[in-house]
Amino acid sequence: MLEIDRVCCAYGRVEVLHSVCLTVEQGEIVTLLGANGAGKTTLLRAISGICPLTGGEIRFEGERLDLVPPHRRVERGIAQVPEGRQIFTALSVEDNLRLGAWRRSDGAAIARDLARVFALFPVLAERRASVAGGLSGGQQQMLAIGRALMGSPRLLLLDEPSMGLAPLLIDQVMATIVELKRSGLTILLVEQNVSAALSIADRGYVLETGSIEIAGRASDLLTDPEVASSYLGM
Amino acid sequence: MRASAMTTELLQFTFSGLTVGAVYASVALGFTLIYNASHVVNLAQGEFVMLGAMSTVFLAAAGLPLPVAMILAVLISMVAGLALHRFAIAPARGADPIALIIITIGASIFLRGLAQIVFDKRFHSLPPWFGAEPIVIGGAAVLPQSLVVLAGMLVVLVGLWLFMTRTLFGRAILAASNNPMAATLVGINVPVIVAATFLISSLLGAVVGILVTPITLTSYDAGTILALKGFAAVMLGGIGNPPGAVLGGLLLGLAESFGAGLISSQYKDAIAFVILLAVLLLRPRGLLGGAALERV
Repeated sequence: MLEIDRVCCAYGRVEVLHSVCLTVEQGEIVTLLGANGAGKTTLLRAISGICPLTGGEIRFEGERLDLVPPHRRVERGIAQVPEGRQIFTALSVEDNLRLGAWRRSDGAAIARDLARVFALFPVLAERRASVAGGLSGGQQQMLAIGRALMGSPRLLLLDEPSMGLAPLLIDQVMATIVELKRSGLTILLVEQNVSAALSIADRGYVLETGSIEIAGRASDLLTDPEVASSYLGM
Repeated sequence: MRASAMTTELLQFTFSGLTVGAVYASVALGFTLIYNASHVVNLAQGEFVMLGAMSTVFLAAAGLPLPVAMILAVLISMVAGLALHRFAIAPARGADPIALIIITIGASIFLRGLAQIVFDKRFHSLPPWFGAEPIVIGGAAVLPQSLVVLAGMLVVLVGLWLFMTRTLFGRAILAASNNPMAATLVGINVPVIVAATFLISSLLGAVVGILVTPITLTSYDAGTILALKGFAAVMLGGIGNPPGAVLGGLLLGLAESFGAGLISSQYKDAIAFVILLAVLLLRPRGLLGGAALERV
């Protein structure tokens, strides 16, 4: 479904991704692991076009994605839940969700998706008229996921959805991701919470200073001694 | 008797202050719209006001019926607004704010020069909509055109507010200013949104320029002082804050009017700027400011 092919990215003159290859197949949860500064967020930004490539290409469902302008990638079927949520703090919860469907014009389907998001996160329905900046961290994360879902994506990119959340909330977010997978969504999950991510993922990649160092099935990575020593603190 | 004369006088100052203040408020609001979407302080905002007014004068003089001239003049100003974004701001994308401000100063000088050539260097007026006979309200004489300006501003403000809060496009403008990256991620074309704010700001400027010309006259260089006053109003109210811009504009207009009436009309402009300095010293973020610092 998604093919990252020898992708390089740079901020100014500093290259942060060195010829990264990664694939995501239809219906999978793939997790991208790695320490702070390894380039995980940059890779997601490359997929959504916020960070332009300096080399390589990205294909989505067989077509070149890196040639599509960033604001037109949502309608191709890719939505991102960015690091730090990045909700529109000044707008209401409902406005945030409706803007998630900015590129769509199918009113009935948008209403259906809004109802679906409210069913998935009932607290968002309760607070639909509240200013989004006033939500708690967990609620803001739900809103960020809900906003991405409103774009009606086939591939969902999640950037550290567990960041700053209490353990109980992390479990909830992970359960939600599994539920989204069951509903047919393909997911690329960037996480620092390695055990949580590997417990729900099908496959995983470990990114180290801009290169993929380890790749494999999630169950294998969980028992991989190198992963265990570097990321699971064992 | 003495007290009543004083009340009448104060009422008089209030009316003229609000009229001028409405003009400053509109310029300040134009600044704010563009600033919020793009962090560009558009010092050519006053030229939109001038273009609306001068184009109306000359189109009407060319024989067009006044309402047609007004509509065309608004369109001319909007074309100028779009062109400013397209040819001066958009190519400099990513430049730092100071460079962008200097670009808008350049654009303002260019538009002024162009107006001087296309139009002329004289002062011009437009006929007031409902005659020049003052209406007496509570003893104060008010020009009917002042009421037109105030009513027009009210319509524009309410219209803009409804547009920003009740339409998805308006909320997309807010979203693009609130978080441009997230806006791009949901598929909002941020440069188009920024262009739209230039369009709306130029419309706002042209409308108020047309409304106020029967009272204040206009000329090719009328925009310069308006940009300064509008900028002062923005700083007074708190940069990036639309209600603050309106409040700042009205307060500045009132301060000038009362200053001119009670102290001396020679110091009219100075009074406004002294108040501005005082506010900036005591409340550097402006009266309604607060969010200002997070945009730095």
